[in-house]
Amino acid sequence: MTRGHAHGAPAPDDGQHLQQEGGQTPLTRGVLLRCAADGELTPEGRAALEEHMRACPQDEACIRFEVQLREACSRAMCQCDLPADLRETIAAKLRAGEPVVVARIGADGRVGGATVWIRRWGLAVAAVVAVGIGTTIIIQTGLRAGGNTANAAVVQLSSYLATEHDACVADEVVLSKHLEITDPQAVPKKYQAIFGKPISTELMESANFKFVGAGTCQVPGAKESAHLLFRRMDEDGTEGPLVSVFIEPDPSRLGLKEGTTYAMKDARSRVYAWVSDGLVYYVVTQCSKSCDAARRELHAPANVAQLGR
Amino acid sequence: MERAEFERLALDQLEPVYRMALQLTRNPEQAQDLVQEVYARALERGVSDRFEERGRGADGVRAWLFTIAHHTFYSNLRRGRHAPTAMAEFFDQESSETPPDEPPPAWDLASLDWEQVDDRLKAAIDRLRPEYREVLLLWGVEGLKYREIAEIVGVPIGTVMSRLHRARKLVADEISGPDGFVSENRLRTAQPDPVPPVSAEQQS
Repeated sequence: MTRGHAHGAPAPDDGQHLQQEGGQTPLTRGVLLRCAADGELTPEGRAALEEHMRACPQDEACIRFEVQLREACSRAMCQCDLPADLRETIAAKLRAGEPVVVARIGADGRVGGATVWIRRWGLAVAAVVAVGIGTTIIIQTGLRAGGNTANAAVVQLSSYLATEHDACVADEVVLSKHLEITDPQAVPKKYQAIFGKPISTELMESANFKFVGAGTCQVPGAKESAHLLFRRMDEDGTEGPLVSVFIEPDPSRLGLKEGTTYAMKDARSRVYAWVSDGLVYYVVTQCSKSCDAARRELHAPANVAQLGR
Repeated sequence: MERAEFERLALDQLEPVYRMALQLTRNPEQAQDLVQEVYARALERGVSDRFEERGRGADGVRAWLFTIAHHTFYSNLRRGRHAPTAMAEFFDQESSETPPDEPPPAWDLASLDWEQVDDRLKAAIDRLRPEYREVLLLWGVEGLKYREIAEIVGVPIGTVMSRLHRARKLVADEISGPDGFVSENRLRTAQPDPVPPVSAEQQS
């Protein structure tokens, strides 16, 4: 099809494009007719249309087609069944002064991953895990230093995470003590205190993971941190391995950079860490498949680097 | 504007916001998530304050929510490594930001029962890339002007025109092409003969 210059509009490459709303959009015949149907022609465009119609009056049918098509598109797209409880859900949370979206951390919000996370993981809070202060000092010192000391600190950190995970997996008494809150409704206040940012909870389990429990712990070198435990569910509904997710609010001491997932050395478990929106996330599990799935669900960066040696 | 009034106006727009979310995500659950994100963002105190500072009145609430929905959806898209099917389509297909040269078809559809075409039309719209569906929705259902759509989507008006015109052409091709409903029903064109392309040489 030829350009609009054949119908009274300047050629697209002649430097005299019509100042249609689209700026330098060439006023081809197609553009001219569709803009006419939309009532979007500028005075110049209307003049071009009049000239064109004198030459091609049959194009009136094209404009009629576009008008009809718009009506048809409107009919086809306007139908949507608003979920019955969506309005009330939002209204209720507004009345309660709660953030609407679950587990969206911070005003800027990790909107993508966070939403999925909200739906699939849920949050809770539990008791503080006691950590020897000596260990904390070692880790902090090590991470600030370089070379072997830093490497040792990373190993010790990953060891702590794996140990905490193993303890909850192996012993139900420890599990119930460390991850004492199983009701996600109890989460918001506690997490607000840890992260200083609004977090609400709306547990929506997915087919892949089932929320087990959550609580607070003390990742070495950090202040209070979050520990969440999930069970991976197989496609047929059978229970799979447990996966821990730790969150700590201060990423700076580790020197981690956003955009990279760090593999941390541990003899027993797979431990991965990454930074997102001012928080450090750790995934710990003994199952590589579950680890991959958890990282994927949490939108961990695809780029993986080794942390420590 | 009082906070309660702002919330009421925002909730009044829940259906169009959900409709937009549904068109973008093509998944009711994801659409609900997106809508909740939108309202969480829109009604954060700092954000709603900026809305008022910019002098947007009650009429601007809908466009404001659309803008947040658009940015939230595409932020999710950029952050998400596991894109839904629609997103794969979004990334895989070559993008063209120039309007189609071809004029609309000249089928006389005045007597056509459009309800019979609806299923085919919906399927055609469903196959569009999300940025095409988005402008098509804002134009077709919400009745917005090109400039308003451009402000919501955050692209130049020319890009809106390109996407919109191309989306319409794709949809029109689906329903009036060789395998389309129009051909199946042997509708005749409104003009006795197809309009021959007029070359620059002929014009001169």
